[in-house]
Amino acid sequence: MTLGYRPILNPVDPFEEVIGPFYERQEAGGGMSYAFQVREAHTNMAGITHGGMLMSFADTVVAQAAFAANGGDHVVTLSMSTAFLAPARTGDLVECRPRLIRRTAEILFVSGDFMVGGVTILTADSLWKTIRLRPKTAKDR
Amino acid sequence: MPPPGYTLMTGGPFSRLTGPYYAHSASDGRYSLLINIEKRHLNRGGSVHGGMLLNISDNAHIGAAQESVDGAMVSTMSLQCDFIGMAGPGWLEATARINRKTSALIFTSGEIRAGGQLIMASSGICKVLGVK
Repeated sequence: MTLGYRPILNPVDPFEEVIGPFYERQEAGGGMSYAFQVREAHTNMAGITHGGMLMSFADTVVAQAAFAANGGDHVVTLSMSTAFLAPARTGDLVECRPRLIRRTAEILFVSGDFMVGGVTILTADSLWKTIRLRPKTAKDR
Repeated sequence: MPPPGYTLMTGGPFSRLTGPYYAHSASDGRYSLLINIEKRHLNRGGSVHGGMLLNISDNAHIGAAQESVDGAMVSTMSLQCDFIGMAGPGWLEATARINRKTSALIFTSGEIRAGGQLIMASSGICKVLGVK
């Protein structure tokens, strides 16, 4: 993997070890980009990338953005809406620079356009719930 | 071994990597998938990875759509999934049914349950390939 990408630094989930590896890159203008290269093992019977693989990568990528937006505190997925615009094939590099659209006290809205060679192949819009691990103080109430 | 009444789902490399999935088509058009969740399907918190739940949903919606067409290929155009509950290792059952079918489009809805408890609710639109 080149183009300035490195393996994702945050701890990797067991499922991501099965379907990865996934990569990340710090962008000069702020934020992160994420990528994976399609392997034959990611394809379906039609010979293109399985929709479940693209959504699994999307879930991982927007989770990283939501996690970062929440200052490293835990987040859980509430919903994910994906549109499949074009196929991705073995060898393709799928890239995404997720965007925090809006944040409230409890909800994060994160979206991502997933690109192959400058063409959008998938869009994902997601809602995340922030989980406060620290005990509430009187000031927070 | 497939559970009684279910057969191994036909799939490509990614379904072999993440499966096995066992499929059953009911006479009322409902399509069911069973998968035994193991450690390799989990996140660090010990729950099924969100991506894996999305993947199971996709397989169920595509399976229901595929059963409704005669040999034609179907492809997911959109999928909307709500993460309602969490599940750990053990059997998950995903079901999907068809809400409307035109010559080119199939509208589906589905859910995933663990021991009867709702984990995910979803709706999708599939395209029948080769139809304008």
